[in-house]
Amino acid sequence: MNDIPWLGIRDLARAMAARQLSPVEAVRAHLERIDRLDGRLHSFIAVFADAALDAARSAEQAVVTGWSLGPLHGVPVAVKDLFAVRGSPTTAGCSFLKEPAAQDCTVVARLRAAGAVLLGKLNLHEFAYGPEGVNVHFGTPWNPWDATTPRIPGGSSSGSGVAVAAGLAPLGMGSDTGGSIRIPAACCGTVGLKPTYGRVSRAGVLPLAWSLDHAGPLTRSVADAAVVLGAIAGHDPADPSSSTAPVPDYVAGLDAPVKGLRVGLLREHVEQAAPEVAAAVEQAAEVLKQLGCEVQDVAVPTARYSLAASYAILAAEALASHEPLLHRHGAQYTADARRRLLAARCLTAGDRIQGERVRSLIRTEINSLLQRVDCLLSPTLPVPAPPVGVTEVQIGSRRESLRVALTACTRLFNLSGHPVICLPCGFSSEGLPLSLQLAGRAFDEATVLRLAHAYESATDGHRRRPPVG
Amino acid sequence: MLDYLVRDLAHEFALSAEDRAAIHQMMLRIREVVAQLNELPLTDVEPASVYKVVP
Repeated sequence: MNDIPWLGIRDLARAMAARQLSPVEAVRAHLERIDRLDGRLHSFIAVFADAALDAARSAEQAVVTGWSLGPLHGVPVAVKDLFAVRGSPTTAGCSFLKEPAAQDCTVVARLRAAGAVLLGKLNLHEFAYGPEGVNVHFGTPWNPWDATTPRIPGGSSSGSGVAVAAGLAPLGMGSDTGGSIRIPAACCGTVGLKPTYGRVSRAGVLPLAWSLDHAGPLTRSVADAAVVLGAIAGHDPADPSSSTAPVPDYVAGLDAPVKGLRVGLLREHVEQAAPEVAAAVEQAAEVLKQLGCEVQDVAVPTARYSLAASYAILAAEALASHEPLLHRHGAQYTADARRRLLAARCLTAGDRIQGERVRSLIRTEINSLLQRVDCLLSPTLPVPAPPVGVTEVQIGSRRESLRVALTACTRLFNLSGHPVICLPCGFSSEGLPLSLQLAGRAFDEATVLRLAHAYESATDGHRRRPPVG
Repeated sequence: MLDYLVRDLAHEFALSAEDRAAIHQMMLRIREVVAQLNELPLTDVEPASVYKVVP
């Protein structure tokens, strides 16, 4: 029972299919762990214990009767509380959204169709509008890698990062507008996958910025991310951004050789990272070379304008999506969210167009690079998770706004829409996880997953567990 | 111009003096960052289409 919460999705599904583990046992083990630890971790906003046990009993019955099992049959999962779940409010981490959702969002419906059992809904930065992952309404999720100092869990999908890292769920679904899957994954030492824009439906996921929002999984292994992507990807007419591109079998290609793959190292992002982060990514590049990859330095010159483009696009879209709510509930937003959203009124239509032009340049530059290389390698974050409350970080000889630093390497791929996976690549001198990200061609998640899986298999950073019970 | 924007916002959303001061500072920062977009020769660049990445 003690080790069940540390089993990955593939291991859980295999054990259940072989009748070595029952879905009820698996769900009970996770619920027990949530009950024991989440009073301090604050990763869940809602736990559906009774519904999860009912679903687990049905899943168990299906195993007994030999019913055809989906890839997530009986696997306990959780979703960021931005994803609609029928009968439960989508709080978005705020204090006033309490209306139960009429139906499941597409991702939840697909998870259930694949056999998953929903444990509950996960904490987040209020309205997914912040990279630190703090939350005054539900308690800031505790980064499990430091037992004494509260460090940021990373946001906005902070509950997803903490729950997965601490063994409370093998999957936490997240959303990513400027890095909100990858930042908590990096801070908490998990895998995080932002698929290509259009690959996974956002229908029923509360929007922050339509043209930048992506939905994707946080898991403890690359293979688990591949399983989940296979279950949730594919066209959805309910999401106008949804692609009709075919969905390959992501798991089948995981073990294919990576020898000969060409990897571009985004040198500027490495040089702008803290020394121990840069060293870890350089070391990862060496591992990829040992696996037979060709690694070369590359650059995205217009990336230096990604912050300005993000301001012009993200802030404008976020204000547009929130304005009706702000009129009704402005006083109930935290001051930080209210002020940041409303400050976007200073943006002009011209700013937006300039931002979109820069986005066009960035997308073209990345597409051009990906003609020469198969994947792009960079740090996920320039620093390990700092303490909660810090607003600036020291990176080498310069001080930088924490919010700007946290999205420095991630926001580029929200603007471009390319798929990116992040995964652990070592630990800092303080024992905090370090993370790299691998980006690939649009709709070529398969190559990104294959290379990440090869790196993960050759290293052991993902095997270490955080110091929680 | 920002003063007018903040005043209108304060009226529309019943903002406190603290909100107004903080929003003014944030607007200054946004304008400073967004001004960088004008450093680039963008006249001949077509703006990105939101859904261009989607086949």
